[in-house]
Amino acid sequence: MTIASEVLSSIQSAFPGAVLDSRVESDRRLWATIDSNKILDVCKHLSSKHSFDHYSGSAGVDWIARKEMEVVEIMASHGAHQVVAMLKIKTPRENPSVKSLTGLYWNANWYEREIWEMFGINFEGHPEQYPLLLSDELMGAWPWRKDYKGYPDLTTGERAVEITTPDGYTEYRIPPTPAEVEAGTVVVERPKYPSFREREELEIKSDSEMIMHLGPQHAMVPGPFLLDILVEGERVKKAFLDLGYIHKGIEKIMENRTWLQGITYTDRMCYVASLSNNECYCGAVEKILGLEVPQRAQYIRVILEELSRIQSHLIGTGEFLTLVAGVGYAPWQYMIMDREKIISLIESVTGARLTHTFVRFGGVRNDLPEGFAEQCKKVLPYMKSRTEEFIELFAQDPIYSARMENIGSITPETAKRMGVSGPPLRATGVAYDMRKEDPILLYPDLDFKVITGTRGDSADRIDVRLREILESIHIIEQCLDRIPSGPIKTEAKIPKKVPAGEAYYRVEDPRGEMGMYVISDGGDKPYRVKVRGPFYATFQTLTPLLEGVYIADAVAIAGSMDGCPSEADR
Amino acid sequence: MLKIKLLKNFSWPLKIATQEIEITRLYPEKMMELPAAERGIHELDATTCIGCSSCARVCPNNCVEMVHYKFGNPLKNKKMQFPQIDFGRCMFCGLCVDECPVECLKMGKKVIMAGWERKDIIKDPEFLATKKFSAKEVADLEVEGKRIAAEKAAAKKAADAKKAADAKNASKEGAADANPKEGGAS
Repeated sequence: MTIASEVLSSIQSAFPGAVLDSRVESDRRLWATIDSNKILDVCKHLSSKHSFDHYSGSAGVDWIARKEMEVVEIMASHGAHQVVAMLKIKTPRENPSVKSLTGLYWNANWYEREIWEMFGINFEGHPEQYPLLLSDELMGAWPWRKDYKGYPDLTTGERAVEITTPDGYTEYRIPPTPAEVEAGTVVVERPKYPSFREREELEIKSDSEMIMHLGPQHAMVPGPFLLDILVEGERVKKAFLDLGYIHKGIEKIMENRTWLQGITYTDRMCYVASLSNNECYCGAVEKILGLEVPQRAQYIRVILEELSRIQSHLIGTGEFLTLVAGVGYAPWQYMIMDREKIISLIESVTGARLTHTFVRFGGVRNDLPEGFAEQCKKVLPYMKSRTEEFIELFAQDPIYSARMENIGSITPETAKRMGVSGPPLRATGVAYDMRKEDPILLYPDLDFKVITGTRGDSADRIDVRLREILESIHIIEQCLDRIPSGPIKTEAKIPKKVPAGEAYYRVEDPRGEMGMYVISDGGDKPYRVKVRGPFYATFQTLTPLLEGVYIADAVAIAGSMDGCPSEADR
Repeated sequence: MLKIKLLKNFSWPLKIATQEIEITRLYPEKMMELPAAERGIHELDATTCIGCSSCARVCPNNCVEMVHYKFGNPLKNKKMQFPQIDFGRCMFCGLCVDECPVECLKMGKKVIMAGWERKDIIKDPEFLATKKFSAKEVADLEVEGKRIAAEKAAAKKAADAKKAADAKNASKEGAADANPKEGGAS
């Protein structure tokens, strides 16, 4: 099996002088600063020689004191080895520009677009540098740079001027002060891009084609996102996606909150999977601090995260069934009823139903209440029998199989290339699970299988989710049998200021691979938190998947991805 | 085979028909049962709060404000500052509860907080306090505080006088004892 130091020496021997700085953190993490001219060659070398076929994302960092910007490319492999290579490319702060990796990795597209619109780093050779998350009025302000002054406060009206439009609406405009215009800190003329609608309408080639809007407000969508389809008759010719309707800028907010306060914001990225988000952030900070989590706390975390996975899969499946109306609302009601039992179990420990803020640095907030194991032993067998019933129900329903089977199929190769993770990837037959690939807590000691499908279609995705519930129940049962007594928080004192350092931590979210890249500069606040969310990656694949399907299937395919636009927008 | 399946399918309604299952809860009259760990509206123990404003500092949404309140413990809380919480912004994360050094702030099982106006959901210590003193007790405690302060002042005065006397003696006796012992009266 390849380890990090081997990868580093291989790059160094193949490209002498390309590695400017390097650090081997462990067998599974490699940090290297690569010469920006050679990044394409290095990536090609890595993907061909060391099977780094999983482009996991990229992060932009603004080092204002050093007057440079950094793009961090996160590279991993689909099961060939467990090394995660964090390749940094540096570029000056004035006119920052780096080479685009879109030619090598198809899914680099959205990650680079995000960095471009947030930091203003230009990507040479990027096919479509258009706004994705931000609104047009914020384009060119580069809001995630460290010297961004912030949007004016509309409640106090400071700096904003109230203007009444001819239509009778009230608008707020921000006039820059003359001093700011002179200093050039405020972009007076924002760059103009063709709007989303304009770009869409360019694609209409004949009179028989038209554009249908599904969203941002549509019964199908699990949250606000825009999905427009160009149709000819009943067939979808092209699909367009637009995000940013609930862009909250959580990564920027977390830079302005203390380390502890940051936990509350991770909850709100995706409230269905808030425990895994907590785990991901706290794990990254624990890695920087070098904290050991006590055994009992690890067990509690695993139990709760698996419970949270069960309820997330239940709501994901149930919601999906309401979308494909032919199958109906009845299963949704059953699943919500069952989910209620799981939610009550979690609530009895954390005290909250959805946004838990439960995991702490080096431990957890509460201990398990008395009688929790007995409650679990009542609920879990019931859940097991119900899930088996659901699986049987879907397997024998002819309407369901007619609508779902071989709809939106992905081959394993395409899935890997598109960078999807979680159930959509495992449904294609690729056993890629963070709990095995990048084991954390006590997952290495537990006995569980990675559930895979065979066809990679919509039916398989649902099947994989339902069978994962059974596997999660199996994990919780093991944990309940073995859980030791002891402290639930580490004895070490957690400092207010986290020492300078960086860490990348991955967990298996119910929706797939979730990673957080946390940088500390020694202060009481994070310097940068990059969230590599699972659904942002899966979302990207919708556009090619929808090409050539029927309109009715578009809903089935989009729904079977178990979307959470809130987490994609962050 | 089909018959077995049919029987199996009928077993569910039969099973359910014999049980009493709560389908709809009459909500305002009958609340659902909340666990002991529930994070609802805060409960303030005004008799032990020391007014350190840790809760105000740790709050991610700045919804805790320290305000004056007269039924607290003047011995522990000199400025009589107690937390007032804006539940319009509170997200019930519980960080304030974790941070409290004397464990006087807790989260209870009360969850209803609706109001007609926005200012109605800004809850002052009077609403939050589950334990507080009466006006008479506060007055007694204030008298007690004054007494303790007077005692302390007297003790300090005595100590100072003794120190001065010691220093005088020391200077009289010459440099025999270079480091005189400091105040033993406390």
